[in-house]
Amino acid sequence: MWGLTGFSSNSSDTPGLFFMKELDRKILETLAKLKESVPAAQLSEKAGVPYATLMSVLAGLEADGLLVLRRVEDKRLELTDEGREYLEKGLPERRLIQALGKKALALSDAFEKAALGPAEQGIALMWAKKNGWLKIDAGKASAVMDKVSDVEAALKSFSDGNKIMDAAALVQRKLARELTDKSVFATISSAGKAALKGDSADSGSAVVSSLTPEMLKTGSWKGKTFRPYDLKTVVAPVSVGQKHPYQEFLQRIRDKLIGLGFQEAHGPLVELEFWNLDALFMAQDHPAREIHDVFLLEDPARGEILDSKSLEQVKKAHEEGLDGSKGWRYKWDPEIAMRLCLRSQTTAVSARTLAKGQKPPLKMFSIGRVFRPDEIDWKHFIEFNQCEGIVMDPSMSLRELLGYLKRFAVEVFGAEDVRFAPSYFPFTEPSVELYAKIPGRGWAEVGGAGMFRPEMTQALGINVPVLAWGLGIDRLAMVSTGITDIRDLFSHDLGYLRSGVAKSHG
Amino acid sequence: MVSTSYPKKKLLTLTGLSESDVLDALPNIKAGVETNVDDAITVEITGDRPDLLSVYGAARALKGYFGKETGLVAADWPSSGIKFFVEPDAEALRPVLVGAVVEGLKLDEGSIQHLFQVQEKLDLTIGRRRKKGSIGLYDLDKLKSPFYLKNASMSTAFHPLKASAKMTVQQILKEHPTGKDYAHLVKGKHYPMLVDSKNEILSLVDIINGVFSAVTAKTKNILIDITGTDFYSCNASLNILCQDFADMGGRVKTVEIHHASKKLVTPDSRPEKMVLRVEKANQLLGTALSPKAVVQLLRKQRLEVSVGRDVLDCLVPRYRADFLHEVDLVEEVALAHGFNQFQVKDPSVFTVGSKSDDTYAVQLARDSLSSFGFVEFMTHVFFSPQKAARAFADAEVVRIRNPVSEEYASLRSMLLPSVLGALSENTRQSYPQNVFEVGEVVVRDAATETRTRTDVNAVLVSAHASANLTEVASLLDELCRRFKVEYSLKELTHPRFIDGRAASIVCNKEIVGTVGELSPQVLDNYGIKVPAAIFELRLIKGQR
Repeated sequence: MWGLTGFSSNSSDTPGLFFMKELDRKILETLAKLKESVPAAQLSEKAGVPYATLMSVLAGLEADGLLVLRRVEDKRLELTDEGREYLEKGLPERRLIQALGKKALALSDAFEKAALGPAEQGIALMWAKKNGWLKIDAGKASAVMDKVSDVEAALKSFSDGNKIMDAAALVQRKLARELTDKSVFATISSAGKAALKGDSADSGSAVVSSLTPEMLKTGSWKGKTFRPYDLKTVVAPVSVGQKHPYQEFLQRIRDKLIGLGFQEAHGPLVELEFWNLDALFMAQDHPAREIHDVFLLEDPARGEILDSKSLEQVKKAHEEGLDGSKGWRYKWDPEIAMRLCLRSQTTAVSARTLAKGQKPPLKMFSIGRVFRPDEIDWKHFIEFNQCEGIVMDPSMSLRELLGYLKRFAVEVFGAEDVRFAPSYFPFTEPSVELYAKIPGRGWAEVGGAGMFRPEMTQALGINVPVLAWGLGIDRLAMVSTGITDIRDLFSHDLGYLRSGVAKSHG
Repeated sequence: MVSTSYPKKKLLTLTGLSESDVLDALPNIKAGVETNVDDAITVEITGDRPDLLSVYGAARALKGYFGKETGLVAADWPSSGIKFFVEPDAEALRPVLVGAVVEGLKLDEGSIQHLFQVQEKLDLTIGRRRKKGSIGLYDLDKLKSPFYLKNASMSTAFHPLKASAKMTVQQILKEHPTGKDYAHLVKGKHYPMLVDSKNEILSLVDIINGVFSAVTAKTKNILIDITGTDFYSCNASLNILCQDFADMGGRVKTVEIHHASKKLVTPDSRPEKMVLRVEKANQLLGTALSPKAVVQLLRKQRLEVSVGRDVLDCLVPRYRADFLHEVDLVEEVALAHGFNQFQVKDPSVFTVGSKSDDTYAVQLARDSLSSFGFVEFMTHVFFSPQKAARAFADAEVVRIRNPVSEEYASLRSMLLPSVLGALSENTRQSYPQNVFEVGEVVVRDAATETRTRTDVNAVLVSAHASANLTEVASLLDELCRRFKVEYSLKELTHPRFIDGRAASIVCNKEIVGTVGELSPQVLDNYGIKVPAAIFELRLIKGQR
């Protein structure tokens, strides 16, 4: 009897007689016909056995000595998205130099002429300087000489299909990555051929390869020894469930906040400008309300403010002020507040929560997606996650806010030290920016915080101080998971996700 | 946030501080340092502090912060005798006009460039891209008082800056680079312009100045006008500029503005009176500062404060436009104290933390589906009509007015298309490919205040050589069992699925999802070369 994955269903009908598994037979027969050593992928196709299944059985057949496996590792180079883009458009530094020509131009003009995006400008400048292509004189740049750079040469030989002499140059600049292809070649052994002929060496022999229910039933296991495994055998890949590393990261933050006594809240992704902006005491002509900073909806374009009490109070806060404030002194337009937009900050959830009527003490948090128009590159995306927290209690103070921020930085993302800088948000006063020292990564800007302005809280019916903070979770996740491109946070690369990387970063 | 650049030498001379002291202190006065190169320090200042746009404003604040010079800066400016007359028909578009005169300036190329930078950024920030206020600077010696704000006609012509010859108003608005940028401000019949008593055109206000009275490094005496819609912001901009000129050594003087119905004198530089309760400050900061200490801190912020026991009378300079409420004074106390000098206070209030019911449901679903051996995907809520079409899904549940690209012009109303899109990029990976996602979708709902609803769906896709309805229906059954939900399946014919191999999932008489084998057409649309069976169902209706 062979095979490590079980026994054939008919074996129980014929006690004492064990047949080769159908699957094993199919593989060995295919190999016998092919005669030569073949890659597993080809074998999978010829034998009509799915690749994953084949891989899980091959090792067993090898252990049984029925076939011989040869494992081969091939290194190859694959261009990254950036690499492909440059191959097509030319390297940014080359495009810059071409745009410059012999003429001296202001850098901004050269950038424009070369149609370099903001992200590419820095790259172009750095490499053009590094390559010694560029001379800057009195604020104007001109091309010096333009011998082909190592990176260019490597990129060209890659596209020509030639062997690349300087792969490191491409890899270092993240234009290409090195992949290792592992492949397995199989050849049938003489034992395998013999087994196919029905010459079962195991029948009645004292050495067997696996224990079966039949043996246990009949007691025939007595006096038998079991063929030992070859521990160097390839471990076959298995398909198991995995959770997404980023979801797990968000989950961890949730757990930490719950541990700190916070209750979770949610809000809708499509918001009224009222809750997203007006209720946060952002004047209707505030620059952050412009089309460059908020996604507006065209269809449906307009909603309805059902909370008429908050509407009246918010209007008053803007027009004439509340609690002794001067307000923004303009005519507040409910039509603007009724426009629909995509939530641009989770503070909208805090505003909704407060407006529902709350009794202190209250600690609330919300983790959710927010949307803001931006250039899309390795650092920015237009959809990201934010974590908002508020604490409402008569005893709240700036010192305690700083205490929360410090506690949060230490508990939630393992900061060694924190630093604060004053900041400005229309809905908080005082406002503070939190910087955290992350072990091995240095100082990072982590998020904004402050005490909600009375003009905001009183309009929502709250008469006690409220501490609030909003953290850009994506940047923290990048620090925590070692991801360098923000777009990889939402990775759907099955190879990566199956590897269960999430568990190793935690 | 707006970025601005300080000439380094100037800043060090004005403050008498070392470079390292200045660099350390700037972030504490709300001017985060971006770069520090040979001759310039570039900072990003927060939206509430346009007075820090100029090196003079920064020096003023730094000298206070280090206690080198505290309290209010005197701004008791005498009259110049110069008058402006606003004609009634010019008032319609720009109801506010403020102005000032600065005499005895000694400018050079560097200071004039810095000045223009400050002017441009004031237009951008407080002026809201000149919508609320637009600044004009002129060489006073070339002009003759009084000045008139009146309407020009389309054919009025003058020689504007950045042009080689005279242009008519019509030409400026259509052809001039700056004219085109700001033409939207003067829609209609009104083109307010500023002229002097000899009918010399100073500017087409809000748009462009004339060459005749342009300010250069040789200018000694400057006339300033700001036209706009809001007196507070125009007067704040004017005070910022005038205080900067005063700090440069210029003599600032006021002008008279005559409207048909009123007369005012500008700049209005009388400090604003505000009141701070010491107890309130201590309560909000969590401190026990004495009234005397609070007074000292506020004086460092360049406010004047009369010492009182519990209530402090404060005078706020007019170049600070950000004081609305007592809490703004409290922040000044905190700034002068230094945020990093506060002893942080550990959380003191006890509350019980809890996750939401929605999160419980989401976690149960994610735990279940991953325990079934499926790999979790996490895709974007952004969506495009093209993506929808490939899976025969609703094209546009909502449409975004200002998308950054067509690829992100809508939001998803179901998860399947995004997950199939992800699978189409994984066709070189081994099969079976068993994946799932639990995530938010947005659907229309006329009954809500946002006319939409944010639901949470769960989708599962099993893609391999023998994927079929039985397999995923069994998993659906197990999932529903875990959620203790009764459901039934109802035959479904839909182009997304193979006929006879799909069903709607019905729960409490409502269709909450679908299950079935994907049609070869759908698989083909995604370049997936193996059969796939899926289910997608709504977990949470109207989350949130």
